This record gives sequence, structure tokens and C-alpha cells, in this order.
Amino acid sequence: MKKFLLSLFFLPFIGFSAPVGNPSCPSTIEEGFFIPDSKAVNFRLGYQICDTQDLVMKFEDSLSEKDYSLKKVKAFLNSGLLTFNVKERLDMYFEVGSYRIQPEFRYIHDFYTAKSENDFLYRAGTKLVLFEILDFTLGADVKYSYFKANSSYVTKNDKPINDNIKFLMKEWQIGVGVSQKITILRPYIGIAYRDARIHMNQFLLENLKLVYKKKAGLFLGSSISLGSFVMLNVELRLVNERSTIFSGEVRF
Amino acid sequence: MNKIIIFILSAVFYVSGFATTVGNPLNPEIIEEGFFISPTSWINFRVGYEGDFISDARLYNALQKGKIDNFKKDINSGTLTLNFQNRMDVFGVVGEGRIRSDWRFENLNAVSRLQLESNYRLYWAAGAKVILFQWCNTALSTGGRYTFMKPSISYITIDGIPQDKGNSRIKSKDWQIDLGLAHRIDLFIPFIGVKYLNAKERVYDSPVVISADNQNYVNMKNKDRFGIYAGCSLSNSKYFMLTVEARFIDEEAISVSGDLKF
Repeated sequence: MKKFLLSLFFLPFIGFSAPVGNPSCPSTIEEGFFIPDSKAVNFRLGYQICDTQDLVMKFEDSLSEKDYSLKKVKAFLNSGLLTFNVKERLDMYFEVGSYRIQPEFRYIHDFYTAKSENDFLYRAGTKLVLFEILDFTLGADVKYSYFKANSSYVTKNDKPINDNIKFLMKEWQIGVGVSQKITILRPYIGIAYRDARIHMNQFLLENLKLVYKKKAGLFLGSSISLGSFVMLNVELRLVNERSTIFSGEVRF
Repeated sequence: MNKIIIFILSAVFYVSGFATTVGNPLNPEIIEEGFFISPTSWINFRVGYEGDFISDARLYNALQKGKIDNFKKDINSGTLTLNFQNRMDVFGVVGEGRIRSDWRFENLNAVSRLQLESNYRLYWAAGAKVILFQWCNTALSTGGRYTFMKPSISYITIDGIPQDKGNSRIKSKDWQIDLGLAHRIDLFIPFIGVKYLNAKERVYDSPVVISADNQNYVNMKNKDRFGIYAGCSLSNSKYFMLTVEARFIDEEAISVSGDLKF
């Protein structure tokens, strides 16, 4: 019964993943260009750039036993954001952009590097202000990401080899954070739990699977906004990945 | 229909190529009050910093029509801007920059991968920006810029093996023109625009083969000439401004800059 209740509680979130964003995002920009504040629904457009130094992943256990060992996975995202806001309490957002991943790993005594082509990443999510008192906000965010691409190149000991890896990434993430408004700044901090799988299919006729080393991580950052029209945000992801994210949004 | 949607989305979001900082279209007017020069004066000047970090310049090998897998540039520079009537900026940029690149090439029926890195060497640029039209807090402007650097090579590796670099160098020169729109919202001045970029890179005088057909040089050009830039400046109209800018489609880059008006 408890499991059923828990699953009901998380049902709206599961299925919907990366940067978490400011927990107070839905209520940060209070005034838009065209849509009056009195309307229940408004929308925002934005841009985001995410540079990941390492996704902090590992090969799944069966592959580690075969002497596969992952050094790191770099990633880079450039995307556009469309967010529908309901009553300055709930954000539903969609993100489409160009993404690529670059795993570096060892197999027995050889060192391999691969780079995916730049291809589309699709992401959808929702963010909810759970609790707000004065300038303090508690919020939650859930998102799901999907990415599929062929490899641009694969090297073995720095020499190109004729191999085509097919990359497939699926990821979901839940984040809970707190934010405090200090004049035009809104610093925030929180915890993100994520589950991701990266499939590297057809590598030397073998299908490889990467999973996260640590599922829980920390995010922190700050937004800057006067409360009208525009908001800028910078965020750092730590522990379960090492990323830096810049984003900007305009409310209409 | 699907193809049209994919094309439009690709045009908007696909990262590619190579270029240099564009700046806020409203730059000539953002800082109204300087430290020493009166706002009524028809000429004033600004001094600033510009950091330009190109994570992929999306170039192709013009000789063998092959792909350049990575072309990165890190540039740190100082800027001097002359401003006329808060309508026109003429600027010069001097700093130092480094290039890192890798590509694959086929020679004698074998595919090899080359990686190189240049030393930090002199980088310079010059350009101008003019506000064409201004309506309330919105401005439309155009500008242009030419940049040049010719660093020596720090190292070259082929298939992971270090090679003799000799007197090899990279000559990098590009010019671009831009058209952008900015809107002031109190402290914030977000902007967006399009630009046309012509970028040319040449690695030459290498003592080792670095391209197909036993060539010891490589000519590179940018794959896509048109790109989009977007960003936001922050200023209270007095003394200083800060700008963050991202550029995509014809390149994949982010730049940060700050200016002080005197």
C-alpha cells in the first residue's frame, strides 16, 4: 500500500532529466511583454548552454568484469527552451537542442576515445513551487531527456579505427532545492537524483552500457532578475556530474 | 513538412563553425556617463576586457573536402573603443590566443589522426558598430570586425606519436558582419542577431605530412557562413557594463566582456 501511495505521489514526475534550474523559477519573472499578470497562463522563451566536464559514469558490472574501464564522458549542449507557466507556481518546459558526448575508456590494454555527432537532444520537464514564504522558496523539478546519435569518430590508442558506435541516452532526474531572494539576486542550492543509461551499441560488435556512479548530486547557482521580462541564470552541478550551465529567459 | 521542420530546427539549434565576439547592438549607447568625459561631449572612449572561448569552430579541410574534427580557440584580450555621439563605436582589440585542433586524413591508404596545439601568441582585431535605428528602448544596429593571429605550434602528434614541429605555424584570419536587435529593460539589455562570417585557417610549413596527397599544409574554411548570436548585457548606464554572449550555428562559442567608460 505504501509503495502504491509513493508511486502515486511520484507518478506526475517519473518520465519526465541535467540542469535543474532555480527552484523559484516559476515566480521569478512577474511581468511579461504582452500577456498581463492577471492571466493564469503565460509563456517564456530561453536559451541554455551546458558544458559537462564529466558525467561521472561507469560501465555496468558485467562489462567491468571483462576489463572495460571508463575514464570520463564529456558532453556539450546548446538548446532552446519553451516554458508554459501556470499561476507563477508551475512551469512545464520543453527543450530541444544540439548535444554531443565524448566517452574515453580502456579495454584491456587499449585506450579508446569516441565522439558522437552533434544531434538533437529532447527534454521535457516540470517545476513546481512547493512552498513560499516571504523571499524564501522551496521547489521541485522533474525532467526526462532523450538523445540518439551516430559516432563522428572512434580512435584506438589515438589512431582512428573503422568503427561506428550508435549512441543512445535516456535519463530522468528529480531535484529539490531552496532559494532566497536578495534584491535582484536569487541564489539557490539543492539535491538532484538522476538515473541515466548511455548505450554504446555496435562497438567492436559488442553493446556497451554506461550507468551513473553516483545517483545523487548537488546543484547550486544564482539567478538575476528585476522581476520583469528577463532572467539570467548560472548553475554548477557537482558530485554526480561536473557541469557548468548558463541560461537566459524572456517572458512574453 | 517534416523535412522543413527539421531544417528550421537545425538552422536554429545546430552548433557548428568559427567566429569572434559580436557584442550588444546597443553597445555605443549603454554607458551614458563616464568617469571623466562629460556626457555632452561628442567623443569619448572605453577600455575593457574580452574573453572569447570557441569550443568548436566547425571547419572543413578545403583541400581534401574532409572534416576538421575539432577546432578550439581560447582568446583573452584588452579592448579600446572610441565612441562617437553615443551612436558609433570604433574599436581595437589586442591580446593573446591559443588554437587546439585535431583531424583525420588519409595518406598512402592509411587513415591517421593528427592533434596539434599552438602556443599563446598575439591576437588582434579591429571593427566598428553603428546604431541604425532606435525606437524607445529598442535598437537595431550593424557592425563588422576583422581578426588575425599567427601562432607557432607547440606540438603535433600523429596517431598519438609526437612529431617534429619545425617552424610550422597557423595563420588565422576572418571577417564578419552582423545585424542585431537589443532591448533595454532597466539593468538588463538582452540582444539577438545574425552574422555572416568568413573564416580562413592555414596550417603551413610543417616538416611532416599533415594532409592527403603528401601535403605539408592544410587550408580550412568555415562550413556555415551564417550564424546567430544572443546574449545579455548588464549596466546601470554609469561607468561600466558586463556582457555574456553565445554564438551558434556557424560556430559554438561563448564570450564574456566588460567595459569601463572614461
